[in-house]
Amino acid sequence: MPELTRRSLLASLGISAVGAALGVPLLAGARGSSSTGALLRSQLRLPDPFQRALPRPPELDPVRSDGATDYFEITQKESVAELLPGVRTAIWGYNGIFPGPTLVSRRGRRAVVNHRNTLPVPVVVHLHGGRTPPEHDGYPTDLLLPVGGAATNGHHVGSHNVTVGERDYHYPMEQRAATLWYHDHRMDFTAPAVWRGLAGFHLIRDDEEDRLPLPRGDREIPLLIADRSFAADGSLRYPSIDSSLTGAPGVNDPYRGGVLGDVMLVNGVAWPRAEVDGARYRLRLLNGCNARRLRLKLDPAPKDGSGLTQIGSDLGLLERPIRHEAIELASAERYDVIVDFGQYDPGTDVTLVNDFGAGRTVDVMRFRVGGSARDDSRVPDTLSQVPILQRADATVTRDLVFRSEEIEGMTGWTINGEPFSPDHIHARPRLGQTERWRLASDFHHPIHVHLAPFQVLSRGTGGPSAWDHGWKDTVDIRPFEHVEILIRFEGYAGKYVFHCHNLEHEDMMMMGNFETLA
Amino acid sequence: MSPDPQTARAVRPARWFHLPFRLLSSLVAVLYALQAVFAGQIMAGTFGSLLVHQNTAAFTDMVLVVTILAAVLQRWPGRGPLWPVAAVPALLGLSALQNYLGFSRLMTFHVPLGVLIIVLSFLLARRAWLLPGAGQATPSAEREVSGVA
Ligand SMILES: [Cu+2]
Repeated sequence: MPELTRRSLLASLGISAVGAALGVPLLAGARGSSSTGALLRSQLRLPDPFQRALPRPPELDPVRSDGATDYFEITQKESVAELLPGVRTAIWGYNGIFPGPTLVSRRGRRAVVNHRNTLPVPVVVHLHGGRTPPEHDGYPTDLLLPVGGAATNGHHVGSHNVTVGERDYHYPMEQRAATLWYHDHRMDFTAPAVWRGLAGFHLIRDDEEDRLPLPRGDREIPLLIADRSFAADGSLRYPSIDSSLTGAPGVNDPYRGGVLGDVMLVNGVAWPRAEVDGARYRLRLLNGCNARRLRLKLDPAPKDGSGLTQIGSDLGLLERPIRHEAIELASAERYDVIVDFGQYDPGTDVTLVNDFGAGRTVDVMRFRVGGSARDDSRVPDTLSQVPILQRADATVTRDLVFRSEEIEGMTGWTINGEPFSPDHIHARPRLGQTERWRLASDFHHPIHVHLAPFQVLSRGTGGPSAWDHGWKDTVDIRPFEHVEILIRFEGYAGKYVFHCHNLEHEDMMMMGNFETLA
Repeated sequence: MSPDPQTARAVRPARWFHLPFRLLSSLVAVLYALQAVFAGQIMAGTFGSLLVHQNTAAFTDMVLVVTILAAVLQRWPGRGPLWPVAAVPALLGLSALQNYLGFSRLMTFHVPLGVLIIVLSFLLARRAWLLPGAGQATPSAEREVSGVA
């Protein structure tokens, strides 16, 4: 008997050995995937990195202003941009540029933005992070048809809020200073439209932020980081089922999980470089990728280790700065960080790298540190007052499961088993109330809620992660992760969407409605 | 005529000192199998299952610690084999590794190791029940035990 058990122990060890042998192939992908999606390779020779200077998207002057309102005008049009050095790429741009012009508003001053659509397709403009009345929020079927009223085929025009040629979007801007961005939000076709260039910054400033001694002027730089892929002829490559973007929506396999580009653009230039003083800089980081998650850090790290001091989240200042060695951003998330280049010796090349990347997507951009310069800025220990929402504040709890499911024979992305329909309302929150939403996911799903800011209450069985602090509008949920958020519904009554900001998932139905009640 | 004292000592403890090891190793196998159920619930989006999964992991580790004591008992004074005294701590080691992988969200290892642990825990329980002990106690040993009690 003891002989037998010894043999069986050996057999168990043998099984362990087989298990180990099976594990070896897994080692390559030990950490799993950092993004949900498939890599779409460029078909032309990619340039060496850090050749071209980092551009700053131009600020758009209002065409006029009155006591309470700034009026802006934007024309959405086809144009040509030099995203790769020496390569002409056709884009769709707000005023023909990518990123679009940066709009700047002050808290409490209404912004009215007139959009004129000269593109060959309908568009919808959403101000991401904006506390906006529903008719101006860019509901996915509130189409702005092209000038001249072109094709509407392929669309369910179930909305009365459809206009032709041009329209005004009204933004009350009754919200704190924050890094907002505007981008296309048309039902079924958001991903390819943003891929072609329809995205830009809209910053809100306020007195509270102005009083802080933060870096400003040339030392405040918004960075829209976006991965893209290029075809052999220099055009943007994207696996649309219908590339006219008027017929069947969605992308071909294997890109249903998300489209990952192999070129990192920052403010519309591939792997740019920037000359910086040896001083503090404020970088407003935006993950403008359709599906790619980023883990950004500085290489080399500054002498004291933590290179990125976070001062703000999606929706404005944190209560206190948080120092990070690296920051993880899912699509649409913003991190407002201070980097002190004075910590480096003059002449140092500091690369902003993406730990989640591989090959060419590791490098993002490079800073060349100049001599030390006069720097009056600093990062105060207290930045703002941010009330912490409590579990007990929530009057309603809702469960939402985001996952892949078969819909009519096709693989789609659903919320609680439902593909997006403008008629299906998932939640009817009352204005003035706080709700607890429990979010679960199968893959990476960055979940964005329109109108209502939220705070992360828990992640898994623990509290918020180091990157979850402050007011947010988008939360990064990883595979089989459960996240609780506390949402404060305030502002306007009406129907809004919440959705996955992996734009391929969004186009393939991972969107739902909530209707706020007065 | 009383039984030979040597024989009595050899047989008498076997029954009682093997039973805890058998029951506890079976409990461990059941708990690990339950963990697969909770893992499935997490994947299905059932809220709260992650906490149950985590708490069950902690409870299973506590049971394993007690099982180590039981493994020692079945050897000394139970005169059972020595291997459980090594096997149960080894399983606890794998379990600790499994907890680390779970907390670190290293699912590419967590899931296959979970499968392996379930297989090993069932083998352990099966071997525990195949050990000499119960049912082999002699009537004289029974009397001896009652006599002592
Ligand atoms: Cu998603």
